[in-house]
Amino acid sequence: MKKNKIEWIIFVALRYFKAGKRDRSISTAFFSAVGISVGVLAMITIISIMNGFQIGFIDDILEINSYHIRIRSGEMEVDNTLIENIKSIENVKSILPFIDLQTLVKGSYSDFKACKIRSVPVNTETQDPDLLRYLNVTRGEFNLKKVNTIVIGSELAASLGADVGDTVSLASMAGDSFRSLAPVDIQFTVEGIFKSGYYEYDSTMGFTSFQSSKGLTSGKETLTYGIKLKDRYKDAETIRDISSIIGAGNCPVSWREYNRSFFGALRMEKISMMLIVGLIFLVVGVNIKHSLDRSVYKRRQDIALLRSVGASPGAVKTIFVTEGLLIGFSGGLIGVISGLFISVNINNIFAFAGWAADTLSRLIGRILSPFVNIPSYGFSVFSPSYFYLNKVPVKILFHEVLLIFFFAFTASVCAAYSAAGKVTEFTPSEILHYE
Amino acid sequence: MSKIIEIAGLHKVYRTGAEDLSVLNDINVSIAKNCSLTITGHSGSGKSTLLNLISGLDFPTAGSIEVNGQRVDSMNEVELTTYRSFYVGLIFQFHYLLNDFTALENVMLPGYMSGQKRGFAEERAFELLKEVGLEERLDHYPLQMSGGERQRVAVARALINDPDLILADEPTGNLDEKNSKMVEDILFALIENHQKTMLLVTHDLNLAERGTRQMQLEHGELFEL
Repeated sequence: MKKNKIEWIIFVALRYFKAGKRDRSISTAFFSAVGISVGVLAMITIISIMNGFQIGFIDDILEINSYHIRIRSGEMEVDNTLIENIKSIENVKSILPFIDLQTLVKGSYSDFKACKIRSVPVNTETQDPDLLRYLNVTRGEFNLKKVNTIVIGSELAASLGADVGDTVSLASMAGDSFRSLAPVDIQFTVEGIFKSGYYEYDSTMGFTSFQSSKGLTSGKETLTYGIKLKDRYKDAETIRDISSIIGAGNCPVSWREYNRSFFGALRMEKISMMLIVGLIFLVVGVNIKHSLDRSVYKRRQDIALLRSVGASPGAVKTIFVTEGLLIGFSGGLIGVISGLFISVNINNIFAFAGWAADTLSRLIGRILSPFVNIPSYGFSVFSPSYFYLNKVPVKILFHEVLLIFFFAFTASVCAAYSAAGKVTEFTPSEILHYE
Repeated sequence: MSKIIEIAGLHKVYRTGAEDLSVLNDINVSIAKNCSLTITGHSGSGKSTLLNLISGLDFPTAGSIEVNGQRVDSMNEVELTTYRSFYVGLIFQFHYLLNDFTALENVMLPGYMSGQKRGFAEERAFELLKEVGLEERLDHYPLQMSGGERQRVAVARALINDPDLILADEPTGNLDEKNSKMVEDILFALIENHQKTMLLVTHDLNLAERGTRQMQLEHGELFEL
């Protein structure tokens, strides 16, 4: 298409797009653009919050429990040479040896609770600083230097009725065969309490040192090395590098395999949500098509006139497709900006909505107080007392925002293309003669 | 004198249900360059149909139409688009201006569409609007102008691509006497100044008398007056 042809088509399409501004009416294009922007806004906000929850789960799982790569060593002693060799791999951020033990734990005034005790080196804070960051020790400290000290989750501490400095009993079956298995019961002092925000870990997990856990084990439990990567998506390359160091005997397991079912479920949940929310664009697309159908019919005289003064049917069609393109672009852009604004400020918006609802309910209560007694409860849209989180997590992923914008834009252009097909249904001579 | 239009054996039949309505019967006419031919006839006599066929907005049932040596009746859509852009200027009974565009833009647009640079098309549109006495109304929208002014804009628009042939379909049919006179004067003056050929259809006999050649369309047949 010649440059000049594109120029006049854009000139006419822009004028039609802005039509309504001049005569102070609200144009069809305006309503269509609003529809697109609301769809984009809703989708960005929903997906960003969903990402916040899902990535929060995934990060907690990977940073606290599963690690990016795991190696079952088969050894009972820490191999420092192996650790140094693996650390020298470029993508490796940290490596921590640990042993997981299933135990029963009991507080002074509570029943036994099942608990997974992770036995780690005393210098864990230097070997795996991210673990402590994600554990979020809220009371006491993560200090396992003293023998028989333990750091437990906040929910577990609450159910045991234990606080920092209190003593809890850990019971385990120690022995290297069924015959020699014997229950052991060791007193541990609570050194710290963590609140990761992931209920399962906060309610069933504790950390102690290798030295302290010896009494709870048969002494033959083998170590696992948990490796964290700078870029967890380069796990396959890093596993190849690790395998070349440790040999074929120990098979490193990636986070993808280790959490396959759970992460797969999260992925499916997200795709389903995107498809369901994406139906908005179907509705918006149908709306735009009907709006442009009306616009084409309303402008049939203009179409006939343009045809009579030298515009080809294709060029007139392109005017309406361009109008759809402008609707999609402007609506999508406004939707992206407003969606990002709402996503970033969602907690403030919830707080404001809670305050507004609370104020309104108090006001209504005061007005109606001579007639009925309406008790006033502090209303909150997102209350930490109901949810296991202090605030709504939000994670905006740039490529997803682009994808949502692309969906909206495409829906608009397709709808416009479909509506523009009607342009060829008019016979200019009939319209110019009879109307 | 060389011919600009050659029409031979032209028939137009509209099929309305079971009945055929013959509007034009064996029209044969040659029109010389720079002539202003006026055609009169009653409503429904086929005047507008004849103009639609010559402008390529409609197709004949039989016969041929040649304009500047090109067969209009056998042109494809691309050729018709070029033909309507460069060879004919159309003026309708109702002005058919684009309401979302100013007077200047309405006149400039066919020039812009035909490949002229926007600045050049605007300059030329300004000159034409000056010629029809609307230099003060350049930025006015059609709804802000009177019927006579709108029709003058339509006259200017017909000339933007400097076509050889102007086809005018009852150009004053919708105007009061004063405005009719003004539009007629402007139209005939422009045709003379720009050396154009005009084919004007009207039922106004006074207007028809201003043509250098006059014909009448009656029962689908064309007679010289």
